[in-house]
Amino acid sequence: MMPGGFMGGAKDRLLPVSVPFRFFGAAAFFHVLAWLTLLWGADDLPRFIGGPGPVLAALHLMTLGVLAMAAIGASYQLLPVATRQPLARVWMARLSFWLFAPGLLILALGMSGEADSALWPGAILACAGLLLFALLTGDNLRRAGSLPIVAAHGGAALVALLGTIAAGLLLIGDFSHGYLADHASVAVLHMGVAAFGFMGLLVFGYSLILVPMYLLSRSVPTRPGWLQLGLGVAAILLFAAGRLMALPLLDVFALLIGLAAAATYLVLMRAAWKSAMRRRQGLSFVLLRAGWAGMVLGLLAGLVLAAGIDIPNGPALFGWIVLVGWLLTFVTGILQRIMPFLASMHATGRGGKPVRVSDLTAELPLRIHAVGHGLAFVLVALGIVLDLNVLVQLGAVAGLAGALAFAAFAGVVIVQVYRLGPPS
Amino acid sequence: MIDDLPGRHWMADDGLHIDVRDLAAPEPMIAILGRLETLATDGPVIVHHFCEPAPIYDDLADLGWTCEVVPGDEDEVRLILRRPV
Repeated sequence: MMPGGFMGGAKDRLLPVSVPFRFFGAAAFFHVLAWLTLLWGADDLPRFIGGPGPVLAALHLMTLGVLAMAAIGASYQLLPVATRQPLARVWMARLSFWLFAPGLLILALGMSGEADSALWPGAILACAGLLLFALLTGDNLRRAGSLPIVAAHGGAALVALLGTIAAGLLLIGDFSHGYLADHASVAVLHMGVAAFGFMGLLVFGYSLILVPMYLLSRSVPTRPGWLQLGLGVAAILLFAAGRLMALPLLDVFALLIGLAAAATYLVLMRAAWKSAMRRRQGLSFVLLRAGWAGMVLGLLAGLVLAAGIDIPNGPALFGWIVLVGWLLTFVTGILQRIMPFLASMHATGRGGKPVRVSDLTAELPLRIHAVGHGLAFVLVALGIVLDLNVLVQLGAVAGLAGALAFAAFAGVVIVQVYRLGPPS
Repeated sequence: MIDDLPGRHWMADDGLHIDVRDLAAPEPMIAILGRLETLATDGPVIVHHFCEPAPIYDDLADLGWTCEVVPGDEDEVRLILRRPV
């Protein structure tokens, strides 16, 4: 069974409220910006296979700005609580934000094709922020003894992050110097290791503590967790080897092993669900389940493509399903749990009337976000397959509406935590 | 069923006591909600906790319980749960 380690004495290890919430607030901001940029580049999306332009900028605003930003905020706050080890230096967490967030804005400007000279300054700042995050989180995981399985997932995800950064810098250099023999293959390696290695392994590992805690599950077995990690790492290594040795056949085996890892993960999540005591699961868990469906669908789409079966605009569709159908759906679903939960932890302890999680959230914006996000996913996916730009544009508008609603939700939580919680 | 729940409980003159101070979450929340669902009591229930269990206030309300923080021992947050008739 999962060792009991989460939240025991948690209050002592809560960071100043401004630290995690600046990352969550920024994720909500970049979410809006990503959909706006995608709307701008909608005509290019169906046939997108890489290269500078609005789609590349939108892609990085989504992956770095929303997915990584949320993961960093959650890691800084939840890992010290889970591992029972405080963050080594809180100022370094703050510094990582001030390197990463402005760096990403500059990088996105450079990637959009509007200001090539912004590429390197943006990349250097953003990568410095990510490396600082890796350093802080790696140090915390190194000292973690109570949750070895989560620490192992986190460690593997950080290695994947380093690989993602290295491949990303190679690709940026290649834009101006053209030294890569196969730019597209390195771009696929960069995307695959980022999505499945860094974010995927974080999702696998953090789900082992977050999902049972939010569901109030009585028990989740540990052993399949090690199996999912082993399979996940094997799949990513095989995929990377296939790219580096120009053996695309290895993609098929990597995706098959990835599907086995996903199946193991879903068995664990089902065990958490079966022993759940919480009645009020809410929209958040609808999104989590939709995200899990997106994960399986994305892997199956990848397998079909790797097997040589033609899907119209297949690479763009595969990327869309993995990034939006799985990861963005999951991350927005878990963020709408994490934010009010952390806010409630900060808002208590002042005496008087107890503060409920439901007092700190806003249901209507979350419903609008869920509808907008779902519509956006379907419309853009259809637009990619049918090569119809108007569907991509409509989907981007729906996604933008959903992102604005999500930002309103984040704004409500942040205002409430500062109104009710201790100033910090 | 009740033996599977984490934490400990006992009856006293002032009601049912549940002590979850030595547990790590989500076990305190499971210990409290599990006992409220399993034991036939309408309260009061006195909970000995290491912090305010804000994340389960909504769950308690769903089950018809009110919650009040009262003075307790040092290093303890004490709560009284009541189910209004």
